[in-house]
Amino acid sequence: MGVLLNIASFALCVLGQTLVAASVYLVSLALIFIGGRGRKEKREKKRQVETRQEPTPDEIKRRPVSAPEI
Amino acid sequence: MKKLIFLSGTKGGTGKTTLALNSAVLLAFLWRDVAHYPVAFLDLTPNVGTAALILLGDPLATWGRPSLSDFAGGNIADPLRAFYIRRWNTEKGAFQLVFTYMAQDVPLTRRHLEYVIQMVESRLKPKVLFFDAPPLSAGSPLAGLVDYVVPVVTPDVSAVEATKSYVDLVGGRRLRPVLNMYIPEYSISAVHGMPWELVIEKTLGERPHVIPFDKLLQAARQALEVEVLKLRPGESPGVKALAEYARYLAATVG
Repeated sequence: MGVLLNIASFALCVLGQTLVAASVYLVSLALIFIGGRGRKEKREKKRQVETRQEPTPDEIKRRPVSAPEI
Repeated sequence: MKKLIFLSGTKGGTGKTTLALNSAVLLAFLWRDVAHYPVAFLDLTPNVGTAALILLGDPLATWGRPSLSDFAGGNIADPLRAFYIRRWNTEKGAFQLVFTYMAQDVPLTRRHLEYVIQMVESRLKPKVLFFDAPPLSAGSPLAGLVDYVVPVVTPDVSAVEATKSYVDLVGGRRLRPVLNMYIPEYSISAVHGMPWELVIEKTLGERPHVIPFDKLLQAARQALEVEVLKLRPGESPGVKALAEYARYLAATVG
């Protein structure tokens, strides 16, 4: 959305609507910034999920024996 | 004493040992206050089977110890000298399992097996005796010696066919089959054109108990650990399914 508004602002500028183009440009910058931050947070969350790995054979070996759930 | 075996006919790698060992441990825990040795386990794999290795806890532990091979070879007269106790202490109390194994590739005859079973029943008095044997074909000395048979298959045409052909080989009452290492994403058999569960039901006459493929079971096996004692059902769907099957066994066999 941000990128589309950015392109639209350049189109308006070319058409001579510089004032409108400038405001659309500012809005597009804000959207791009917010979108980028959201993507970064999502990436970090995904990385956190990935780092919460399943136990390795070595970790299982070192675990204490616990009563089975039956 | 009831005698039970997990069977896949001539097919190997279906998870018989995983099922047998985990079921044995779960029943030993469940019946820990019912009998002194609630469960006995016979690993009949020549040259030390995986179950025996896990129960012994150390690959070098077989050194110098008598095993069923010594009984079969005539080195020891009393087969119970080749039995060992594995004991676990948990937050809900201690429990134990008694087991034996074959250290060498010495043929165990039907007469030997009958004597071992007789000794176990009269002196150890377990509720259940588990057999864990390598893939079996016609002429197995176990024929006629078991009370219950659990057919074990994987989503694999050859496993289903081999199990179907040999499921009546050792006699005994057939229990609910197990579909092991099931991958839900590949639920349809491309050969049969129907779900694997239906294939098993049509082949073996009963809807199978499904145990999903679980990386954690593989990890525990690499660590030579009993899966149900180190993994929680919440983290391992395989352990959850194993516990469900052990509950069914307890209700049916116990």
